[in-house]
Amino acid sequence: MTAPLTGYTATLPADVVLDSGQLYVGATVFGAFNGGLKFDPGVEYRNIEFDGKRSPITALDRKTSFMPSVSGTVIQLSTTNVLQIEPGATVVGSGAWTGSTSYMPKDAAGFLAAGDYLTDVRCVWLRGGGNFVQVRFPSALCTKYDITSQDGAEIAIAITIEARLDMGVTGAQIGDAPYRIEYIASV
Amino acid sequence: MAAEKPRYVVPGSLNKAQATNSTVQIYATIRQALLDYVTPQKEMLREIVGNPPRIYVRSAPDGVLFPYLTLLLSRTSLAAYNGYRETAQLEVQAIGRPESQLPMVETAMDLVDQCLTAYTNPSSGLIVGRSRTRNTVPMFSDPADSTVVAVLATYELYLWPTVLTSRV
Repeated sequence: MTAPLTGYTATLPADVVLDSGQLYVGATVFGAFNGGLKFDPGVEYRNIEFDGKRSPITALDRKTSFMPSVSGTVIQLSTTNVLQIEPGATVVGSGAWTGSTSYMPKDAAGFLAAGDYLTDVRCVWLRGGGNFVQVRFPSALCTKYDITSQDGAEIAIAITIEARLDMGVTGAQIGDAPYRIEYIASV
Repeated sequence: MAAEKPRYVVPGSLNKAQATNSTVQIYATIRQALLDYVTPQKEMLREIVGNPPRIYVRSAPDGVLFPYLTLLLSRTSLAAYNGYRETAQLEVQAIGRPESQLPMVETAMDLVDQCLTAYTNPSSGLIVGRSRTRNTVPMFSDPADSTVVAVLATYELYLWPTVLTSRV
């Protein structure tokens, strides 16, 4: 008898990645998600073109850009979350609804300040062996969100957080990847 | 007390090493996980099911003391993984008598819930548990014994057991 082909190896029980994972900002849990997390490194390559070329050619690839992002659907909206999905928002008193805490989103004209960015956004997943693997954005920004509600269900806030390369870090080069993949013993 | 009938899991019948080399060892591994689990409040199942622990496979021996637990596995292998991975339903019954043992039986199942809904064991093959359904059995009436109390829970597990992954 010949056993079927399989990807199973003796290291799979330790290396397999389990469950939906969790999004952290620094050491703090972002919130409760429904449907897991999606990470896309957003890498683009260019295989140099020339007349007569018939197929992509080895050693002629250049990585031309990154647009790393993590997306998911969060089911809560705390005051902390507001500031995470609305970078640069400020609490205002003038013109606020009576008795409210009013967050005014950042204006559309100026640059964001360094402090408006999220630091160490981390998608953390549990490995079978009991430790963790994470994708980390040292600097990041929530660039897109929308809110959908449904009768009899929790709110669904679809968020997209993109990595940013912080050129203020000593030694940072313009072509550096703005994300890391890291193996950690604890979250 | 009447002599115990043979069972898969009786004291001294199994090596306590974590293993999934056989169905019997899968039962033993899960049983040991239940006995070793400690809650944040430092509670352990063995404080309820005694020593030797009254956790049996399929059914309890004759003359058993109460409360006790039974384990019963139903396993399915899927073609998508060429039969190497399986999903399993583990039915756990916690049985008490008299009726005053109901709080003890519910507490025992709370401990099982905590253990098996966050269970990941990669020490031999892989066993993972995350979800369950649970029911408290309504009070029996004649001719059944109305002093018996029971909680039944079914845990959804998935496994890469050595008994399936070590084929040649």
